[in-house]
Amino acid sequence: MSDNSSTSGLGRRSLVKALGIGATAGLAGCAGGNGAADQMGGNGGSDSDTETSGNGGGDEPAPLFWNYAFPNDDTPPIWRDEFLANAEERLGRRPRMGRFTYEDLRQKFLTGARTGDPDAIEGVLSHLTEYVKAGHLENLTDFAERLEFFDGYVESAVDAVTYRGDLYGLPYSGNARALIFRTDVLDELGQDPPETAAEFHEIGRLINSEYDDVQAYHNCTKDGSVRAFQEWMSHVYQHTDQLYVPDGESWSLNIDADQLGQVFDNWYYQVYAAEDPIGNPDQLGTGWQVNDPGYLNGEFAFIECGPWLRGWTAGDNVNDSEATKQLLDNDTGVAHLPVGEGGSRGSFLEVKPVMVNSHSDQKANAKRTIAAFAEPDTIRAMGEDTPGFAMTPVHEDVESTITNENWQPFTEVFETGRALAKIGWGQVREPFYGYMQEVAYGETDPYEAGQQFHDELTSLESEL
Amino acid sequence: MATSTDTGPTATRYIAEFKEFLEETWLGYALILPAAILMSVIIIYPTLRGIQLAFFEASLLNPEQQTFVGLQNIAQMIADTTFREALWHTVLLTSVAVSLQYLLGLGLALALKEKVPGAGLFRSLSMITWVLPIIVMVIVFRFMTQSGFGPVNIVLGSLGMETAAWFGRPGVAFPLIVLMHVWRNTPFYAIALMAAMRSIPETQYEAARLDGAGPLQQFRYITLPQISYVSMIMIVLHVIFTFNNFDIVYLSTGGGPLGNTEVLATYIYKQAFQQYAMGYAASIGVAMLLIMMVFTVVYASLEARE
Repeated sequence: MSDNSSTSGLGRRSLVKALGIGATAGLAGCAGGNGAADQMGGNGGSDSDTETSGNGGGDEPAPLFWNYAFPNDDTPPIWRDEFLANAEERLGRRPRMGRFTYEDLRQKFLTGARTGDPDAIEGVLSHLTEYVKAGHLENLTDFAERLEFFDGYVESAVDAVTYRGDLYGLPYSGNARALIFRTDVLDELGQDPPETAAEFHEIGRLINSEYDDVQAYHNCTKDGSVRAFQEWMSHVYQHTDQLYVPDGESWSLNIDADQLGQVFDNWYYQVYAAEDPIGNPDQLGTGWQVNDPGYLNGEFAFIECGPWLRGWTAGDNVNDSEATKQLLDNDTGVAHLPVGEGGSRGSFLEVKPVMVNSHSDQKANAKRTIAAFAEPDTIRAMGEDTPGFAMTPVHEDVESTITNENWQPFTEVFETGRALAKIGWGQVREPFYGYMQEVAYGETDPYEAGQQFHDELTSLESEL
Repeated sequence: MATSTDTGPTATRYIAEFKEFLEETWLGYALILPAAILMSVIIIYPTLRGIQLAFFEASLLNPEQQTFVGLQNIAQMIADTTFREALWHTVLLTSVAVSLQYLLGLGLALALKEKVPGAGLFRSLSMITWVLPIIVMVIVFRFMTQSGFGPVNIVLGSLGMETAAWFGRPGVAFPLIVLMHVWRNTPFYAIALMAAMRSIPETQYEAARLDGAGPLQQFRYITLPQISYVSMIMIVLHVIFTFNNFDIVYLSTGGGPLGNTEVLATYIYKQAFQQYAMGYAASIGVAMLLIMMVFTVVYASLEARE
């Protein structure tokens, strides 16, 4: 009896053990991270706070609007309040809102839009292209043309959200990337802002030789960094209007291998891998987290950046708020990005749209929600709340928030901005990081990398 | 007659017991049914769907348009040098991190089992590393190794040593990833192993001491065998977690620099969400599943043999 019990106990133990092992092995396909659900929630700095701000309403729930736009800080929510008030006027109630990082918004929408949620979404331009290709976006052409404020949108912003003649988003914010530089450093050295890449390298090396505490330049080289891709695209746009152009139903690569090599040479090899680099090779593999705060804390003389830097004078990344204010108010200048040989002025145009889910069961309300978000009153409130977002407004009824003449050139730079072609950019971005890092780390000759990258981009033409 | 009189009650008793057993068993089945259905929905279906997808070419942007490609994804995987590198990094990360975690956790547990000062405080604080959100841990590590103002570089600089943004340095980024895993999980190992050690009756150690066993022999013949089950669970779970780990690598290095920290989980993510290649990503996922299953079966049979 005792033996039987023991055998049976062992059998049960083995069975439970086997089941446990089976379950854990099964979880191998499902679980990631360190297992706990809350840890997975931390991926990518996910920042969600879905709220219901219902205010009356009918039988159906208020439309769900996902965004990453509104500031998540302690300042008064001027922009958000204006949007909610306008939405209430258009909808008769307030939309429900969920806040996620752009990367999370993209993943969740690409994989879950078919469920009908969210009804409306905010994003960046490359998202719009992907969503359209996936069939997740509602065509807004007729709706937009009936809007009382539609005619006031800047043409380039409307073009940016138009795909094959149809409008798929309403633009609310736009900017282009400029060269941000230290006027005090250049004045001290008797130099003008560089206009060509060769001048830029020369001045950069001069700065490095004259200053111990200021590095001439920094750009983003982290694998997967969206900012690194945008910086690279800015330089690509100095050589071509579009990296890919439509070719019937397909796309055709619109740049030479040498031009790609030149971009790698000027902006990665000379910066990090050359004998006398203008950047700091010890800062290779870093992203915007080093780039922008580095400039704000006086570490770099040049960076490439958008206008959001203007209002960034406080926070965890800023060491000395007063010094940063002084730097941005008096010692910072803005210029076109230096141009490589054979190139012309050009920059990455960032236009942020709000869009409607084509699978939503309340598209009319979703359209009213995005109209409330992209109308001039809301954009004006955005500028009041976050001045850097409205320095180059996408609507002519909204005044630029530029009040300092040093920052005025952003308006001209904005005019040279080019919006991304409507292709699936993921397939271009992924190989870019590999070649860019190989050049920046001195593993591959920039022109050789340019040739290899050109071949790879050419092979993608039929897949985009 | 006497026999039939004896058999009657015995048979009735057996029937009654059998009925009771059946009732109890069916009640058990009924109780686990909801959980079993839930598990089927959230584990079995996605797993089978993933396996099926591995034999198709499918885009993330148009997942309903699938083309059957047979073993083409597997062939592509075998020829893919990035996949092979990612597999090697994954195996290396898993074996080094789990070994270090176990050894350090075991050492810590042995130390804490003795009445060392501060052991109680350590037990209270030790789970902090484990419950800390991964994003926070990565930000802390990135800040500490930041070029210029990171505390690690400040110390190195003051000692006249080389400073750098260490996560961007090939050759250093991978050990830093291992370090983060070890830092995070070692205290958890220590607590689990210490709990197992505490369940061993003190009389066994006393008997061993009377028989002349030294500390090493006590550890080898008393402690180790009796913590083996907990050890197995901890190791199996952490091998699976580390092998599948995505967030620590993706948030800290994105797989770079120069692909030095690319692991299978980040590679799958890039294939699925950047290249839109759902079928190929699924085939890599299936390869991961098979590797984990082989590991689990081998480990379980070794444990059963003991």
